[in-house]
Amino acid sequence: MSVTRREFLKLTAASAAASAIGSELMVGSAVMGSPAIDWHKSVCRFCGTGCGVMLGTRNGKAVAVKGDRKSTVNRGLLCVKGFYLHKIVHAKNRLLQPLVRKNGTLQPASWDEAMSLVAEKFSAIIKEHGPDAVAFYGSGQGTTEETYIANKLFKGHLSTNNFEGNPRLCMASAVGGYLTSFGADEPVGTYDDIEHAELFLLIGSNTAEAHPVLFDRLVARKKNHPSTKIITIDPRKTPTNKIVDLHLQVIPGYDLAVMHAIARILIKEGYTDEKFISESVTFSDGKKKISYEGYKRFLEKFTPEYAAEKAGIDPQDIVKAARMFGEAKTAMSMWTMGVNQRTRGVWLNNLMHNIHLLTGKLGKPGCDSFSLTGQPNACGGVREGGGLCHLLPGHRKVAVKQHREEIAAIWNVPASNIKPKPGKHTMAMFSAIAAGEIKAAYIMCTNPAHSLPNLNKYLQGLKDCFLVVADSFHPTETTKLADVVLPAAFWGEKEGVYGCTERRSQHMAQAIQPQGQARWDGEILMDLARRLGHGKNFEHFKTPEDVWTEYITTTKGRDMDLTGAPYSRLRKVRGLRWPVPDEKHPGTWHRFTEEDPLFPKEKAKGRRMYFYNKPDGRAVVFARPDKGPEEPVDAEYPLVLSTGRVLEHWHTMTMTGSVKQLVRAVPQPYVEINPEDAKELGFADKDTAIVETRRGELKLMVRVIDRPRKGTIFIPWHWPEKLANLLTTDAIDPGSKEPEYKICAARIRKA
Amino acid sequence: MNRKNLFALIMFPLLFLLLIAYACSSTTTTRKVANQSPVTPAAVSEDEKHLDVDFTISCLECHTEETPEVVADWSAGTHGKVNVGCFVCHGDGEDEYYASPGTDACLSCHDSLATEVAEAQTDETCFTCHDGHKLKFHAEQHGGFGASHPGWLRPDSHIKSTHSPQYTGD
Ligand code: SF4
Repeated sequence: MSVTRREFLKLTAASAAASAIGSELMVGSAVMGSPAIDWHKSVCRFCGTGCGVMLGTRNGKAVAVKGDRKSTVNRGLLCVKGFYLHKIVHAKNRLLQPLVRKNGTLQPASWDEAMSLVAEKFSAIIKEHGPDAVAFYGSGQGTTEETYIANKLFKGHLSTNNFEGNPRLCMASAVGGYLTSFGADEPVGTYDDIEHAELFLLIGSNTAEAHPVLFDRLVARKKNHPSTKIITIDPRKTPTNKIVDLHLQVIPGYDLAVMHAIARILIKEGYTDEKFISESVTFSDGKKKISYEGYKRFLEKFTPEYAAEKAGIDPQDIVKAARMFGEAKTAMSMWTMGVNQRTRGVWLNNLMHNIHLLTGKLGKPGCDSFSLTGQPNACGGVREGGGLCHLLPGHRKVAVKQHREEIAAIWNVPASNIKPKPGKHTMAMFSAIAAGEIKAAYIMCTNPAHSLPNLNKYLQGLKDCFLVVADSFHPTETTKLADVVLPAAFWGEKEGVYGCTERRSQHMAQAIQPQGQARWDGEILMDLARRLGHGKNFEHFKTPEDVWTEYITTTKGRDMDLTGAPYSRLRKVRGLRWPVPDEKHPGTWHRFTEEDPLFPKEKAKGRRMYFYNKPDGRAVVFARPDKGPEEPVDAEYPLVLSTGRVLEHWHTMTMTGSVKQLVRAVPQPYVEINPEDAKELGFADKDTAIVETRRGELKLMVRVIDRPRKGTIFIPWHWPEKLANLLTTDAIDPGSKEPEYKICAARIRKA
Repeated sequence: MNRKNLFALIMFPLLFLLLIAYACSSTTTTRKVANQSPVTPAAVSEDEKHLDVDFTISCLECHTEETPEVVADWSAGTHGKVNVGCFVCHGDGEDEYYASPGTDACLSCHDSLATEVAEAQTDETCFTCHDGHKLKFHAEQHGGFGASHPGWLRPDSHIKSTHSPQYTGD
C-alpha cells in the first residue's frame, strides 16, 4: 500500500489514539513497572530549577529516568532535557581515558602519566612565576563537594585567589543585586510563593524554555486560579507568551527606565506600603543615603512617556503593568539572563527589588523578587561554597581578615596562606591567560572556549597556556585546546549535593560506577593535591560525605546555615532550604521574617522584616541612573543582537547534542529575524545570511519569525559549529564583572 | 439532525473499527518505549517506519504544515503549552519511531497516577481516557463523563496533586 506523505502523517496522528483501545496495561509497562530496575534519588543535571529525578539502573547501566514525585520542586514532572538524562550517561561522546597532547595531538595516556605531567607543570610554573601564574576555572554544574576541594587546594594551599567559575557569566549580577539591596545573597522566598501569587512579572526570562518545569507551575497556577495575571518585559516574543496577559516588548537595554516609571506610578497612585517603607527600607543613590522625598524627586523624570519613548513601547502599557502590580494582593517577579547579562545588570536587579520593597510585596506568601538560576549548582557550589575570586565558603569574603582566619582554621592552614586580595574575575582571568600572565589553568566541568563572549580574543591564549580540562565529554571546544584532558565521572556515577535557585540543597546518589577510567572530580583534585605536596589536609576525605561534613561546618552561624543538613538527613528528604541550623529544623520559606531562625526579634522590635545583614536592618531602594547598553546600534551596525536558549538544548550542547530526539527537535542553528526587517532587507525564510558585529561574523540559516522585536535579531548559542560568541561583546558590568551577552550591535547581509 | 452530526455518527464507528484494526496489527510493537533504553530491544518494524523526509528540519516545523490539526490539538493542550515535543512519545523518527507509543513516556512524569491506577486495580491505561494529543478525556469530548469513571480520574485531579505547596523539605 502506498500512502502519500500527508496521508502517512495523518495515520501517524491517528495512532496515538489507537492506544486508547486499552490493549495495554499501564502497570507492567516495559520499563517503569519493571521490578528489575533499581531507582536512585537524584537531581536533574541541567537547569537551576532543581527538579528531583529518579535514575533507574539495571546491571550497572542507566536505563531510565522519571520525575521524583516526592520532590516538591517538580512533583514528578520533567522537561524534555531531564527526560533523556540516562541516555547521556552512556553517550558516545563520553571521555573514558586520560588524554595528553603529544606532537600536537591528544593521545591516550595513563592516569599516572597525565597527573604527573599536570603536577610537574603546575609546580614548575608556581616556582618560577609565583602562585598567581596559575588559575582554576570551575562550574555551577560541579557538585558542592568538588568546588569545595578545589577552593581548599587553590586558595588555601597554593595561595592563589585566581579561582573563578562560570556563574560569573550568569549569576554575578543577581548576587550583586541581592547583596546591595538586601545585604545577603539569594532570594527571600522560595518556589512555594508561586502557588500564592496573583501576579507574575517576568523580565528577561523565557521561562517556558529556560526553566520549563517552573513554567509548568505557572501554567498550573493560572489554570487553577484563572484570575492570575502574568506580565512579561522582554524584547522577544517567546513560547512563554502562551500564558502572558501583557507583554512590554522593549528595545534591548532600555528597561531600566521602564522599571523606574513603574515605581513612580506605584508611589503616585498610592500602591505603596508606607508602614513597611518607614520600618524596613532606606534609600540610596548608589553613593550615599538619600531621603524618600529625594527618591521621589529622582523618579519625577521617569514619566510613562519618557520610559516608553526610550524603550519603544506604548506608555499606556507601562501604566497598565504598574497598576496590575499595585492592585494584585500578592506579586512575584522572576528574571534570568536578560537582566543579569548586562553591563548594568546589578542596577537592574536593584530596580526589581525596588518595586517589591516599595509595595511591601516581599517576605510573605506569594510575594518575592526572585532571580532564577541557570545552572543546577551555581547557588549551592559557587555562590554559597565561595567559588569565586573574592569569596570563601559560607558567604565569606577573602578581603575580611576574620573570614580568612575562620576558614584557614577549618582548612588547617596558616591564615596567611589565604591572600586578602581578590584574584582575577573570569574575564580578567581569560585576558591574563591571553596575555600570557597566567601560564597554567585547570578547567573543571565547563566549556569556556564556547561560552566566553568575544571568543576571538581569548582562544589563542587558551591554546598557548598549559591547559588542563577535566570533563566527562570529549571533544568540546575547550578540550580540543587542552594539553591534558582528564575523564571525569558523570552525573549518576558519583555522589554529591546540588543547591538550586530556591536555596534548596539536594543530595544525589551514586547509582553506577564511573565508566571507563573516569574518576570523580574530587578524587582527581585530591590526587593533584598529593602530587603537589598538600595531601595531608585532604586525607580525611574518603567519600563525598566527608567533604560535605567539613563544608557544612563553614556554614555554622552564617546566613546560609546548613548545619542541620548532614548527608544522613539529605539522603532521606527531598532537599532542605537554608537556613536550616539544626536537624529538627524544617528549613526556611521566608528569610528576614519571623519564619527565619536567624531573625533577631529584639532588634526587629515588631517590624515584619529585618534585613539582619544590613547594619540598620533595612533594605535599600536604589535611585540608579537609566544607563543604556554598552554598544548601542548605529548606522554601521543598525540591529541589536541578542543570544539565548532553546528548550531542547542546554548551554554548549555537550550533553543534549548526543540525544537524537533533542537534536531532532531543533536540528540546526539559525538567526531569528522579524518579518518586517526581513522584508526590508530582502530575506526569505531559510536563506543564508552573514551576521556581523565589530568582533566577528557568522554564516547562519535565516528564520523569519515574529519573535524578535523589529530591529533586533536573535541567535541561540548552543551549536559548536556556529559559535554565537564570536559575535558577542565582552563589555562587563563594573559591579558584577558579568559580560553583556544579551546586547550588541550587529548587521546582517545575504551570504 | 444536521449534516455534521450525521457525518459524525457514521464516521465515528468507522474510525473506531479502523483503530481497532490498526491496534491489532501492531500489537507486537505496543510495548516500545520512547524515552527508555528498551529492556527488551525493540527494532523499528517496517510497517512503523517514519517516512523518509527532510530530517534537517524539526518534527514540529514539518507537522505544522502537514498535519496542522494534530499540531493544533497538541498546542491547545498542556503538553503543547509546556513544550513537550512530538519526539518525546514518537521518537526521533529515524533511529526510533513509535507510531503508537506506549505509556512509559507518560509515566516518566506522571508516575504518581500510575500508582493510583495500580491501586485501583484496573486494566485501563492513560489512553483509555486521554486523547494522546489534546490530553482531554475522550468522554469529555464525546459528551461528558459516564458514571463508570472512578473518582481519581476527575479532570483536574492531577493538577491538584501535582503542585500543592509544601515547604518542609519533604
Ligand atoms: S526544568 Fe530544569 S531541572 Fe527540571 S527537568 Fe528540565 S532541565 Fe531539569
